[in-house]
Amino acid sequence: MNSASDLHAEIQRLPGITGAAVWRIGEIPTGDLGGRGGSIGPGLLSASIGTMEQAVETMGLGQIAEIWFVTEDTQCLAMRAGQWQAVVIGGLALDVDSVRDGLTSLLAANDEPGA
Amino acid sequence: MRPSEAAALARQALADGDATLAGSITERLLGEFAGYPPARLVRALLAEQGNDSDAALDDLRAVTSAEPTNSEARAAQARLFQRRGDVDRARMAARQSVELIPGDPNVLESALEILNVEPDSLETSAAVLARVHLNCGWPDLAERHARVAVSESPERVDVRLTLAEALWRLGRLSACEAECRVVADQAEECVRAAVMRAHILSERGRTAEGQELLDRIGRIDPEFREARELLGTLEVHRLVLPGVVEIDLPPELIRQSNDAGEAVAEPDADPAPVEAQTADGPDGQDGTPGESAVQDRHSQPVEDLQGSEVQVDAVGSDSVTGEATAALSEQLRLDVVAEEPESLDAEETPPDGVSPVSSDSAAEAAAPTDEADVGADFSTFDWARHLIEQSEWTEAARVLADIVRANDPDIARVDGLLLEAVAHRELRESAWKLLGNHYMQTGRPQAAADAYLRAANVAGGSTE
Repeated sequence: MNSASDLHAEIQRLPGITGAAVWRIGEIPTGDLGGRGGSIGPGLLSASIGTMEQAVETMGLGQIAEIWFVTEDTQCLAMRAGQWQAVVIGGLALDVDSVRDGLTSLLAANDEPGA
Repeated sequence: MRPSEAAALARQALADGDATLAGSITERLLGEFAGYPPARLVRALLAEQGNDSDAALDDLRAVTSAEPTNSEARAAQARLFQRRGDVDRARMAARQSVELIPGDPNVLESALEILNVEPDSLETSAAVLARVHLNCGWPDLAERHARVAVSESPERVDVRLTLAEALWRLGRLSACEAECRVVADQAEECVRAAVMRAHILSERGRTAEGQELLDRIGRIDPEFREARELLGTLEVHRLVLPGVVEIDLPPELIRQSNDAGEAVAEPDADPAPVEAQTADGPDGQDGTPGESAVQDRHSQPVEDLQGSEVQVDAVGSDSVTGEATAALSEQLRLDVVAEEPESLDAEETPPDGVSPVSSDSAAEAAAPTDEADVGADFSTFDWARHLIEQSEWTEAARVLADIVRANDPDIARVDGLLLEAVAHRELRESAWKLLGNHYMQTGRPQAAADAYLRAANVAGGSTE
């Protein structure tokens, strides 16, 4: 299985991605958001999404599989697959559907069954 | 050994079916700290196993007085009430337990069994929403729901404590203090309310009284777990957290405990030391970030403490029921700080960004004991502290980063060290970021988000 930094490098190669953070549950998020938020950016975005996940789980709504949001100039997609979680950002032209497919395959391919 | 570690051993022994060992450790703990909730909870569970409902309920009453939001104690109360055929009280306690969002699935299951409902069919009450919002770091929403919950169930001390904490986190100290007083009327040993009152007193310039009140908490919470948890959310405060006491378990108890552990362990089991997870509150915030320093500050006789400048609130004791008085007669009341002479409208200071003193002074207070430890066991933690004391910021940041990367199983210890580090301006940005990393590693994203935001704010401030 690849390390988080290898996986991050692979994710960065997906078309339209300008920044990404990836981590396994219980580990520190790795990556960069293309300069957004400096060195704290990946951690802050990951933790904020983790907070939302925790709130949703606490309220008994289940586990979030993916979150997508869009701002005036950015799209962000956060996904979970097994032990891996990833957050990617890109411009408004980013094809979210194809990124979702690519990200799902990458995360699933790197997940250890039963991990 | 820290009291929480001893309590965890007792829990483990109980889980392994060794009631004798669990009882021995518990009695040893209670001999030292008569009101220590995790030990009283174990004793209550032992009494429950032995069908001694009265003794179990007495202990549980003490536990819920000190920790009104302890969902496990509420679930145990529910089981005992049900066993006595007191269905109404059983259901009430079970509902309370569920609404406190227990982290342990067994506790939840036990409470749901009494309520005879499936988790999916539970209504989302205002009390639950208040708790969830508070846990998620949204005190304004928590306050709104807690007010609704208080109006629905004014007798629920746990709900009122949630309201008090939400107000405290919002910096509305006068309103918080009023709620803490009500909490203390119903649960006079409540540690969390006492910590908030101690902080409020210190913010009003009555630091000595606040410190005195905080010191008294050591009789019930010798590791100051709740104080560290609450005060740890403040960037600075004026209170000094006493060092952590340790307890010497007789060697035969430790040996028995080790033997029992080996007997049940898998051949390839991780030999990591037992964590205090079962001995802690419903939020799953374990242990304390205190270090190996051994201090006996709060083991001094009660009379010494009472001889201080703090006045005794004799009126408050009238509110105790006879039952509660019997159960708590040996314990020191926390609610002994004098009534506020000033107006409740006195100037409030928000918890964040307040007084310029204390974390540094806390570090200073801890220093001598750390130095004493150096010769015996100079750990990476000691090294980081030493570097901080020597103002070697770059090296200190590097060592702190190593500690976080190593992902030490003693989560609370890492929490404590990093929270000490953020008190130093030069380390603040990196320490908040490391704290964020550490919180992420340990499954606390909302705390991580807060820490990263603080790091970003510090970075923004530095740039400006």
